[in-house]
Amino acid sequence: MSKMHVKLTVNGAAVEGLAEPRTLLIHCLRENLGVTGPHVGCETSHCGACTVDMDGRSVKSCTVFVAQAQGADVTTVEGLVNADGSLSVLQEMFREHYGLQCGFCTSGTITRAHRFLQENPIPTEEQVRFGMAGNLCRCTGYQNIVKAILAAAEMMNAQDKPSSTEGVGQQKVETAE
Amino acid sequence: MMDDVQSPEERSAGLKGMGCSRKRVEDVRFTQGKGTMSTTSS
Repeated sequence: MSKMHVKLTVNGAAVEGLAEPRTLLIHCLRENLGVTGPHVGCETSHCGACTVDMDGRSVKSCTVFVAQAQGADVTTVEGLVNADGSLSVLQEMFREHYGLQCGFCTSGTITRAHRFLQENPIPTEEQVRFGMAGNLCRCTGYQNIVKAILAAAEMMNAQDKPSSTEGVGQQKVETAE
Repeated sequence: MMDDVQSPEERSAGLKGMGCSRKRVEDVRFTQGKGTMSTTSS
């Protein structure tokens, strides 16, 4: 099959290359670009381990052809860390609330949660569960995933308030007396 | 570096006995997409 010239932006970096149009986005990311954060789980769009952000929407990259991602802005879990390399609020809350166990679903879960909180910054527990329904955790750690997302939402909203000047990193610093 | 090495007695005391509940420590690499799975060839 003839290859097509693909150009897309992955985690802020412009990338281009040749790929067969039938190549799945997840395979292009992992095998051609070495972006191995998104995982291949079911390859049938059920598990959500391959979730990435494409042009502001969560997509399961195992059911997106690379041809469909032509010119798209793709963000994976690797692109969610802060500019200085520290954990984002969401990642920090997943760590703090034990929102991961084996870690296989975590990259897709965090990527989806990131988009979900952009769509709904003040969610209820029910909305979190509904919004995250496309991401399965075989360790069944849903309770802590929901807790982590709700905590992240609360912290992000507190940071957005003008009176709040403290970030996550600053809150964790304890001064010796 | 050598200060981090515990004697068997210190380690045993730290474990507080069989069946003692302990908080696990999450591996933050999983939250950053840096976890290496068996399917990760690169």
